[in-house]
Amino acid sequence: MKYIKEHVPTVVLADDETHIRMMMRVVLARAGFQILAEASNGNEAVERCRESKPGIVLLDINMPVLNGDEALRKIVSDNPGVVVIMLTSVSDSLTVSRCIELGAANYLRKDTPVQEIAARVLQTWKDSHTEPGGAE
Amino acid sequence: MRERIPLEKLLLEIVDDEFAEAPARSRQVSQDEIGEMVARKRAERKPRTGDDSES
Repeated sequence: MKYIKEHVPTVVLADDETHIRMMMRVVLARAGFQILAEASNGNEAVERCRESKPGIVLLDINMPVLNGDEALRKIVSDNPGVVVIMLTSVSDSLTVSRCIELGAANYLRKDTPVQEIAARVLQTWKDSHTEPGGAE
Repeated sequence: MRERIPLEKLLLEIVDDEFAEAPARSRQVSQDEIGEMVARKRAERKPRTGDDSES
């Protein structure tokens, strides 16, 4: 966990389901992430990202006001280099492809085991910071 | 004289065709498949270096 201690990844959590945000807050905090803000819809997610400039955004797709893929487009445009990871129960190939094309660094299904989600978030963040042309 | 197809029948055929195509256009993908899609995109985004040799 040396990498984490030296570079604490900061996170905005966006999901309209409170229990998912609570669970992810606990899981990610245990893994060494710092949670900067939470959002319960796409618009809030865009605003929280503008305000807090996170390193990582965990973004649901089916949310009120503004859905996740539209929020993704705005977040990536507003925050170059941010690592956006979709965390959603939507898993049709068109949606997955669209989000990856729009700039999502990873796409995780909500039925993935919780510890695996934390590991994949961490790995995605590391990958984004070690690739030439990646974030930072 | 050409056979006339009732409008309702025609519409039902069109809808049936749409539903038949839908799974092929947008099937559910597993987390492993998503990982492969992400890896392919990451490889595309990776800038090529001058050391890359290709015949």
